[in-house]
Amino acid sequence: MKLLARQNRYYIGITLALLIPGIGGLYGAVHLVFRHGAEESLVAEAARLRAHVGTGLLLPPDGRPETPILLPYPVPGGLRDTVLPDPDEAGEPTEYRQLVTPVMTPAGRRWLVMRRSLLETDALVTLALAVLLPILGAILGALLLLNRRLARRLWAPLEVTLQALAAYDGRRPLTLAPTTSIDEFDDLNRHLEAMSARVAQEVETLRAFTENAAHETQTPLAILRARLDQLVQLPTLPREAHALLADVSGGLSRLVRLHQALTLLSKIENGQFPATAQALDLGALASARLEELSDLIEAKHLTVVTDLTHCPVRLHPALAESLVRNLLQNAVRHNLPHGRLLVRAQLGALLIENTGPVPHGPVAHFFERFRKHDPTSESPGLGLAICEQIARAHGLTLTYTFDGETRQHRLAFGIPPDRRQSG
Amino acid sequence: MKILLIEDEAPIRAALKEHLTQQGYRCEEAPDFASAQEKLWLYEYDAVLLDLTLPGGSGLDLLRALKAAGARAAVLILTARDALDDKITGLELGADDYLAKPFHLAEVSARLRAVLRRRHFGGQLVLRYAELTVDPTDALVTVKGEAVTLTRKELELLTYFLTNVGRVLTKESLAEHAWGDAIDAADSFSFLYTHLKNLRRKLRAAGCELPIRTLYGLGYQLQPAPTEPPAPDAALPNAPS
Repeated sequence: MKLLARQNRYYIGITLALLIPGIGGLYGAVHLVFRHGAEESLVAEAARLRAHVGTGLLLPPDGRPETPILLPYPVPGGLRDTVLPDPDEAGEPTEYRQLVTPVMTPAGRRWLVMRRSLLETDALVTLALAVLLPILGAILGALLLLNRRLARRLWAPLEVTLQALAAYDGRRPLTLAPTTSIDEFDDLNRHLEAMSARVAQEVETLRAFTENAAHETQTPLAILRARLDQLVQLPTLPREAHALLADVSGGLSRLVRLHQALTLLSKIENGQFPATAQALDLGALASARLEELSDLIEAKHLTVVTDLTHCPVRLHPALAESLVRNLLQNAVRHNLPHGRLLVRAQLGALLIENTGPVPHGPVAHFFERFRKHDPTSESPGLGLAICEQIARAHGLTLTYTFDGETRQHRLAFGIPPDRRQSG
Repeated sequence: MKILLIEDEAPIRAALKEHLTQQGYRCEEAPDFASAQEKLWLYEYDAVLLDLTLPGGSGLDLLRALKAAGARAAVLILTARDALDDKITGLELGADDYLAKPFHLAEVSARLRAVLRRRHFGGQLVLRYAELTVDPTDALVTVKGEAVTLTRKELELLTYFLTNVGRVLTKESLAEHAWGDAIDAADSFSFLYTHLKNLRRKLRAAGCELPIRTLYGLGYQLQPAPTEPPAPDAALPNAPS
C-alpha cells in the first residue's frame, strides 16, 4: 500500500472515530437542553395555574393535549413522557412531556395535568444538527484534502528518488536532486549517491581487473602453446616424453578453453555486449552449428531430429553464436552413444532435447558454474552457465527439465516478443 | 618470401620466427609500434603478422597506414580470442585474415600460406607432395594426375599436413584446425583418428602412401617426401629446406 494511501486511511479512520460519537453527543446535548426548557416552562405554568385553581378559574377543557385539565382522580404524579394523538398533525401519535401535580380546589382535591409537545423540540434539534453537520463535514473534507495535497507535495522528492533507484543499473553513480527542502530526503539522497558511487567504483575495479586478468593470462598461454609446439618438434625428443607432452598439450588446451569461457562469462556479466545487438535467426544459426558438429554426431551415432523454422532474436552476434554453440555442444557431448537429439526452432523459442545420463543433484543447480554431469568429464562445465548468463542479461528465459522415464534432458530457450523483432 | 613479425612478446616472436624460418620464410621482427612503423616505411614485405596490442600504439593504426600507402603485403592480424570488435575492425580495414591467441604454430603457417596464395599468386598455388597435388582453390586432389574424392574435413587435414611437412602436429592442433570450436563437444579424439585413417586409405587406394608417423598420444608427423620434385612455386616453400 502506498504511503499516502495508508496515511489518508489513518486520518479518515481517526476523524470518523472522533466525529461519530461527537455527533451523537451533540444530538443528545441539544435534545436535553430543549427538554429541560419544556420542563421548566411546565413547572412555571403549574405554579401560575395553582393560584388560579384556588380561585376556581381555569380554561374550559377543549380536548387538546396541551390544554391544562383538572382530574378528580389521582394519576401518577411528577414529570414523565407520554404519547398522545396530536390534533394539529391529524392525530399522529406525538411525544409529550407531562407534569401532574395535586392541587386544592374549592371542590376538593384535584390533579392538575399539563403537557408540552416535544415535536417542536425534535424539530429544533434536527434543525440545529442540519446546520452543524454540513459545517463539520466540510471542515473534515477540507482537512483531508489539505493533508493529501500537503503530503503529496512533501513526499514528492521520495517519489523522484524511488524512480531514479528503479532505473539504477549499478554501473554509473546515481545523480539525485541535491536539495529537496526536506532534510531527511536530502540525507537519503546524499547517502544513496555516495553508496552508488562506491558500488560503481567497485564494479569498475572488478571490470578492469577481470579484463586485465584475462588479457594478462592470455599472453603466457600464447607463449606456452607456441613454445610447446616447438618443443614437440625436437628431433631428439625421447619416446618417453611423448605421453608426458601429450598430457601437457591436452591440459593446456583445457586451460585455454577455460580461460576463454571465463572471459566470456565476465564480459557478459559486465554488460560489455550492449550496443551491437543485431536481428538474427536462431534457426539458421542452429542449422549451421549442427552442420559443424555433424562429424561428432556421426562418431557418436546420434539420431538427430530437426524442426528449424524462423526464430528471430535481437542479440549480439557473438553471443547468439556462443549460446547456440554451447547448447548444441552440450547436447552432443553429454549424449549417450546411439542417443537422440531433437532441435526445434520456432517463433519465440529454441528447444533442445537429448538423451543422456540421469543428472545428480537438484535441477535448480543445473546452470551453476563448473557443474558437471560426469565428474570425469574434461569439460569445465561452463557452457550452460554461459547460456544462462546470456539469457539473464538479455531478458530471455532458459529452463531445464529432465524426464526420468524417457531419460530426456530438455532445454527450452524462450524469447519474449520485444526481443524478437527483426530488421 | 619476406615476412615482418610485429609482436611485443619476445617468446612468441621468437617462436614465430623460428617456426617460419624453418619453413623457409625470411623473417624480420618489430617488437613495438615505432620500430614496426619504421620497418614498414623503409622496406617492402610479402606478409605482415600484426599483433594489435603494441607498446606505443595500436596495430590497427599500422594497418591503416599500410593500406593508405597501398602496400602489397598480406596482413594476418593476431588478436585476443575475445576481442571481437578488433577482429571485425581489422578485417574491415583490409587485413587478409586473423588468428586468435593462443594459436598453434602450424595454424600460423597454414593461414599464412593461404593469404599469400590469395594475395600474391592470384589464388593459383598448388600444394605438392611426391606425386600428390592439392589445388586449394577448387579443392582438387590428384595422385599421378588421377582425381581423388575427399570429404571437406579430410581435405582440410591433408592441406594442414602439406603446409606443415616434417612438423609434429598435436591432436589438439589438428582437431582445432579442421573442426574449430566444435571439438569442445567431443569427449575424445577418436573421430580424428577415424578421419585420418579414411584419408590415408583413400590416398593409398589411389597409389599414394602418406608417411605419417604417429607419436603415441601426442600427435602426427608427415615425413618429408623422399624425392621432392622441383616445384614451380619454389618461392613459397612448404617444407623445411
